[in-house]
Amino acid sequence: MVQPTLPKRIDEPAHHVFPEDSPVGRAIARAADAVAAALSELSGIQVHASNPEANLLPLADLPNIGGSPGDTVVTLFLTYDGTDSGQIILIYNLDQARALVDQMLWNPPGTTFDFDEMELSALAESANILGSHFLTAIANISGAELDISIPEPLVDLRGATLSIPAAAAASSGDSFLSIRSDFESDGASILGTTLLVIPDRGVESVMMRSLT
Amino acid sequence: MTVAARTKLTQIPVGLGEIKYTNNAQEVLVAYGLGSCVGIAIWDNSSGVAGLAHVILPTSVASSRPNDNPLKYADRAIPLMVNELRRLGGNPSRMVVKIAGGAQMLKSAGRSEVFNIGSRNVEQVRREIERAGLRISGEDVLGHQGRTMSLYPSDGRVTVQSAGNLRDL
Repeated sequence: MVQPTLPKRIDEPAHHVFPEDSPVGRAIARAADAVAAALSELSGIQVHASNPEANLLPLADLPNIGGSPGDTVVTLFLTYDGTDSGQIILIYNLDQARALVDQMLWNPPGTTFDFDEMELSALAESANILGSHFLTAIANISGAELDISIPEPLVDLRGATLSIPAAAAASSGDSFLSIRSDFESDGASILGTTLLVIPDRGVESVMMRSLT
Repeated sequence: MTVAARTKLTQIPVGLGEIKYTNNAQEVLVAYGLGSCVGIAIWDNSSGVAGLAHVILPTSVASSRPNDNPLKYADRAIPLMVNELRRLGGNPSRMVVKIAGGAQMLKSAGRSEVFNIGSRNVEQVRREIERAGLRISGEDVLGHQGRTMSLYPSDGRVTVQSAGNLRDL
């Protein structure tokens, strides 16, 4: 590969991690636990939150959240507003999405393959439940009053779906605040589910300011 | 070049707001998962130098941040890219330009105005390519699906993969 002579970016954002034992870290962990409990109920297997965290990340990292940008995933988009605003993005890998649909629709395991209206409706309902659990937990801690939108499902490349929040984040800088948790089962198998929350105003959001 | 031969090539990912260049025939430049973003592939058919840009937004007009990454904007990335290709031995009269992306990923009316940046990206890219004195010879843009775009500097071929289909552009 040829190295260009173009100037390097001089505003490369630093990874700014909110430690686990900080007020933000604890709040995110509690909210992620609430989501894990709801996901356990939906999926019928014990699920726990894995590495819940809040980080300020370079914009270039966004399409890689939870895996490769070239993977096909099921993504559910929600927005929230009220005393604060932002986006909630729930990403399922295809197998996890199929298993969850089977569970929610009382199908025998292995029934679901394609994602038509009924399957996407079930997954949208899951996003509604999980997103609401997350926001309710945060609101209980921060005192924020938040309303959540109807989920919109999308089955496409991870990078393409995450171009939606990327475009919004790019218009206000070269980094974004990522509040994120993955979810795993008690066994070795990883469910392949990622919950990503991106407050519109990043670290200046009401949510983050009330937690710090 | 055969498909089998291509599988041995080194893939160079081109991320959000990046431009990568190569004249190495053993490499392939790849922009994974283009949604509303646009990939701009430029290849000089004489020197073999190639560049692939991955722009996110149409213009930098609304930005007041002096240190913003210029490569995320179509209006700033494309002139920089053409100049760099020229410096690397490219000649604008021999440059072949192909573009892909600019999809509207979400269809709901309530969000389309906020999020449908794809068509504005495509319009701006076309404008900047024309302003640079170049011509687009192939494109796969708009619609509602994500795409992965690859540029092979060995022969200038550009492929686009979308919804499981791989095609030459």
